[in-house]
Amino acid sequence: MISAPEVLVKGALIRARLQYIGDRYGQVARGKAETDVSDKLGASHGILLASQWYPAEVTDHLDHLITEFSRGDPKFTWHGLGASEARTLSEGPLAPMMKKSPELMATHIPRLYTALYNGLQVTALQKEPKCIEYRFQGRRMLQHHVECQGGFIEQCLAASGALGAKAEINPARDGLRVLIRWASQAKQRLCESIRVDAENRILDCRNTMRRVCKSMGFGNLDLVALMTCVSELARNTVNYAGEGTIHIEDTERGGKRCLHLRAEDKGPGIPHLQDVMEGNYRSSEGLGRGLIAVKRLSDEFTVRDRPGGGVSIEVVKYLQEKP
Amino acid sequence: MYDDFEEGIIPIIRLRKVLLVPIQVPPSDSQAQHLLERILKDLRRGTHRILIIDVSSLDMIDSYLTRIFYDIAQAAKSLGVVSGLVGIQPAVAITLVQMGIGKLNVQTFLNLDDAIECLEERL
Repeated sequence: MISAPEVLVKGALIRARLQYIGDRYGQVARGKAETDVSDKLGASHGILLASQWYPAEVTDHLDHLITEFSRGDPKFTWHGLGASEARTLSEGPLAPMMKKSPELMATHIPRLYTALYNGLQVTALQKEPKCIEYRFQGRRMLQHHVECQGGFIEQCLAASGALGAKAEINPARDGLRVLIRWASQAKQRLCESIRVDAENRILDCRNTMRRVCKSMGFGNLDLVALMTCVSELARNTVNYAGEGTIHIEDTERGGKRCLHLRAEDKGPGIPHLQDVMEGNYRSSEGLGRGLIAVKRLSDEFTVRDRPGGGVSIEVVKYLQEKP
Repeated sequence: MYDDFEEGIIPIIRLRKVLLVPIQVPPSDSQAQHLLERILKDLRRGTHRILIIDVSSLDMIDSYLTRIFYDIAQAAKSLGVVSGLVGIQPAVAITLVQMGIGKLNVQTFLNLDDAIECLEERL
């Protein structure tokens, strides 16, 4: 996928070539539709200026144009790219959008600029992070473009679909509104419970933790810390209680988003807890080290005896707001 | 004869006098224990004088793993093999410090080149 800056660079390069063609044939006039559309309709008119955004297709287009021009076909007219148009590309109404969502815009911008050059007014509004509304004004042109297959809105929609976006077209009084909403990442908050009854389940715990952390947007450092925590807790559960449950939850505390990790078992409990946490007690399997490590790596740490036997260890890690 | 294939087994690369063990994902405890045994078995044959464990793609080293690494290093030492740990990720390094395991008690190196160079000198 081409990102916007690259597209701009290529745009500039291609622009030079387009102007060259313009000079060569000295036919600078206003064109109105797209080559492919005119091919299909067998109708008149010129060039899809915006095709310049497609590095791969450009050469084909240019070759085609050169042939058409040299045949002296009067149907093809040339829409030269003047200074004002060049400015539109870099500063025009769509320029801010290009910066915000280069991926989608790289797909849409060619079509949108086609609309611009076809005398439509195009406004793009970013309504939500993953939702863009294009407003096209100038009804007659629109009708034409919507109706003919391969018209720019059609293309626009097809391109959106390829990116997993959904588009709806709503007629407005003065034109058309196209709402493009692409797969929102607004995920459900994850809440996972893993039954830990064998040593292999520790791997599951780590993998689940990795997944939850990534979905929450934890940084690498916190990710490593939390992976280590869950690994230690799961191991303790298996080694000392035989079995238990690990809960990993994406939640909030005091208005702050955090990851809540809870290890519960029905084992014999932790003898000499005080000593363990003070580092005075070391088991042969390294329980002391593990628990202390977890405590040091977490923002909040609680060990609690469960009614009816067993232990519940809770760990909270807050999601740091990115500056 | 096909039964000894083990899924997700950690590779041990035998390269001249170097035994190179790239660990790609955090192993389970039994895998780690098994690795220790396999390494020692290999070392006992006496062809390898240097043992290098590459942990550059590990995104977690917990207390059990540190202990296994320590055990491997100590065992290798008693066999007369020099060993080192290579490429601990920065985030993992910080985590180890925060855990209170700042010192691994294992020789560590930034990269494989460094490790082989230094360890060869020590032979």
